[in-house]
Amino acid sequence: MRARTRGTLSVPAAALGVLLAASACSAPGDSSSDDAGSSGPIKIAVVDAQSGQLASLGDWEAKGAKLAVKEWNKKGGINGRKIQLTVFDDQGDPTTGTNIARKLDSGNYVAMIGTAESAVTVAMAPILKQAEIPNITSGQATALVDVKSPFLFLNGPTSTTYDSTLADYLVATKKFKKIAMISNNGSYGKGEHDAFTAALKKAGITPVTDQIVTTDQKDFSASLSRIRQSKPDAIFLGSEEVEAGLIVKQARDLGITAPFAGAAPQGTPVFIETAGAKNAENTIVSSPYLSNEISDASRAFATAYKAEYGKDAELHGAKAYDGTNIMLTALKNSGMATGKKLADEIRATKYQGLLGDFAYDETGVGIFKTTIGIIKDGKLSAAQ
Amino acid sequence: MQVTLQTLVGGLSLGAIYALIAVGFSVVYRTMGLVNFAHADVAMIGAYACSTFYLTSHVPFAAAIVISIVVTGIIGLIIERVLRPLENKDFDLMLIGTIGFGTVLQAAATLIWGTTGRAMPSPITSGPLEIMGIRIRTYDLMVIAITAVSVVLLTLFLQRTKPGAAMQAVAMDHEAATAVGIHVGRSNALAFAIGAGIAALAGSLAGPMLYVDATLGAPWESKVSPQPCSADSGAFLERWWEAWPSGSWTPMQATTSRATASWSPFWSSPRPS
Repeated sequence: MRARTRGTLSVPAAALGVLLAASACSAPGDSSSDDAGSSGPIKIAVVDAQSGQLASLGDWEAKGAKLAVKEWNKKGGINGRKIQLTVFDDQGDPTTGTNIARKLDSGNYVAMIGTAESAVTVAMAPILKQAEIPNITSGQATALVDVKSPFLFLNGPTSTTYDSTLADYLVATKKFKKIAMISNNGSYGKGEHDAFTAALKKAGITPVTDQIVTTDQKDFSASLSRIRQSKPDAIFLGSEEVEAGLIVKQARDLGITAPFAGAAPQGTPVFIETAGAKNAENTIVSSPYLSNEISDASRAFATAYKAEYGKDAELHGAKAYDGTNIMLTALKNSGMATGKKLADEIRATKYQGLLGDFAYDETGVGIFKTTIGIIKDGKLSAAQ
Repeated sequence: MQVTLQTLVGGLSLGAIYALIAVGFSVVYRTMGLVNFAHADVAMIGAYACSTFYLTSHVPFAAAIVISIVVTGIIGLIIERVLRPLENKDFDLMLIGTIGFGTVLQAAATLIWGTTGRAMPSPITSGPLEIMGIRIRTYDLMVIAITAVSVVLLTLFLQRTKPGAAMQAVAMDHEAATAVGIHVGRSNALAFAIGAGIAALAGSLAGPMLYVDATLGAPWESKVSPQPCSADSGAFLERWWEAWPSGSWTPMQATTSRATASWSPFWSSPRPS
């Protein structure tokens, strides 16, 4: 669709190219994107919430990406060119996200890392697809796969993987029959709700109660009272870190003793802190990255992370680190291609990451396995 | 029935926090007629200040609250001082000024405490009480008691003390108040300081129930702020009345945080004047 001869087009020819490209439904500002890869630093964007309720998520993600880029730059960048990482704040808001997507297009960014909020990524995807900017997201909602953009990749498993592993553990291993559900009506909560309900159905179980809360709710007495009446063996939690923590805290105050079960957010320190370590005890977590101690690679990553930020590494940083490394590896292997060629290269990249062995399929998902962990003494460790 | 009662009980303590926010809010609104859009953010700063002294400096919870009230009271004074030149000149600018202060406070909180927020453990360790199958947290009881006491104290201040009477006079007619020798600016400053102090109290009490971060105040803003815009002049303390039940009401509705708008006229009608 576009001329690939870099730096040789004269201005009128480039202008003509724009017109042609525009007629082929391309966004304005594309004219120079093909030149972006030829000189100066390689521009990569991290788009994540740096303010608002999802800021901790965005912060972890940006830290993981920055660490990966720093390591590559220390080794001399890619073919002698430095990688320049710019962080954009999407505030966890889809509208802000789409504005940033347009900025990335006009700013000639080669690739994007993020976001951690599926709804934002889904909103950005059409613009990035049109601008041909490959994007490795930290989202996990199945809606990301439904977008069917060849430029969108996930740096972890989808909700389906998280929740089928979790349902399998609860039903087959623990032999739980009465499972209650509480999830929020946000994009993450809804995705989790649907994926877990489907997984339960496959196992032949109907939840004893299915409670939906809003994303900004603070008092969960009503839902939790109903859950208490249903006397469940375990309670599925489809909510982000902070809200899930508040739910667990209030549940314990109401005298609910059944263990909670959830996916990635329930394994984070923010969740455990918000709930209180004692209340979060025995929470069952489905996660592709249980701790920093699972392999030599994760230990090395955790050490580097600690040295850089003075904090302990966790899942989201690891995911972004993996995603960024895959992106940079693909950039290197393709001889710094951009657009479609880079996306194809990412799809072809086999990468041994912290989360496991990545091998992307057509849907942009590269990893299909999670493991079950249990919170003991305020720390997540592998289930026995 | 049990579920309904449990929801009511759970909501009452959160409602008590809303009530405190609303009281602080209306102290400023009644004195100056100014809708202080920074109010919820002042409460957020109060929550952060309290959590810092409680968690980091390990002072007792009650002392941390007092320190946080003082700190935020000073912030209230600063806001009033900055906005004072606009008083009686350009009200819209003053209003926008408070929005600006809200943004500044949020940004300041992010700069000082970072983006990630913090969880506060409850200062009361004893378990919840169980009455007829309904569980009541001891901390909730404390919050409700403190709110009730604060409302009583504020009423006494307004009715029995000179500065309180002066504030009421300014609220009724600031020109007439000036004529009888009341320093309107000082009275407004006091209103701002008291408002901010009560906000800090609310924020501090909310800390162990919620999660302290820079956006803590956002839901409060939408619950408390829109109501006085349609209210007529009169008593200082009407708002707590209206705000308190919203704690129970909102989770029952489980739809949006703006739910209060739809029922507030019902509560507003028997307002004391």
